[in-house]
Amino acid sequence: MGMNSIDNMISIYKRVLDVSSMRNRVIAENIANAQTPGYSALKVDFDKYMKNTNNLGKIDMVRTSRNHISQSKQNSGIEIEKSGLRPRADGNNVDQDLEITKMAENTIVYKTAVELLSRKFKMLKMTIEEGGK
Amino acid sequence: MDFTTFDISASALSAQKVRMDVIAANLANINTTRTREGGPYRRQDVIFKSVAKGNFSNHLNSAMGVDVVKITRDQGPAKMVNDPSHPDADKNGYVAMPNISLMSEMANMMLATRSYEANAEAISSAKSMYLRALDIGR
Repeated sequence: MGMNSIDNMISIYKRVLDVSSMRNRVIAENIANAQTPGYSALKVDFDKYMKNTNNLGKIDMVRTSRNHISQSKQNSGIEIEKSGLRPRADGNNVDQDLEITKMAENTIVYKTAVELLSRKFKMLKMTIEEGGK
Repeated sequence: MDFTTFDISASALSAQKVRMDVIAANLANINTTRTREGGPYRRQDVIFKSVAKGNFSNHLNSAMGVDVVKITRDQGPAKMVNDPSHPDADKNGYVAMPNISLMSEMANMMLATRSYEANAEAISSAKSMYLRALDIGR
């Protein structure tokens, strides 16, 4: 197993941490504004960010302006889009129960990435320590 | 590491607390016919507004929490109830009562409570996530 593949794995786990951390914040915003009239729910597309190999190594978080109806494409960075759900009478379109569920799932994704990253480092450490013997 | 998420959820906790206070006042005064301003108690309500919280260095990056921008007082007509025996009845036997529906206030109270719980859970989740990250490499 070459250093390159270890680097790649660590880099991938790090990106998972970045995007799920940002996703957590966006979900928290939606939950906080679940009853604010006129508020438009946002979402972070996890898969889109992970599949976009252009942003390997980059960790900019760029946010589209809330006034844009269409989502502007960013070449790097985590894209925050409107959720596109149907608004209720007061203009709010947050589904509080859906957001709570998304947050639970996101927490598990984050913690899994932490665990796997941690194990990778432990393995590296063990290799280095044992190798000297 | 971005801790804005705590500011956002905390703002919602405060806002829902204010809303609970207002609902509590409405429920307590559901039969109040005499106020300092004269006349029956007027129902209060809160108006929520999205407000930017956290880091302002890049305005596109500001995350939206929530604040109570205004506590409104019902300006509509009072509820006239026929009760000639009431000390505040007018010459026709009608009393001007607060225009407050118990069911409506209870429904709002449940909304406020659930929202408070959801936001408290969000804080707890974020905290456990970030604390777990400290274990990387340990």
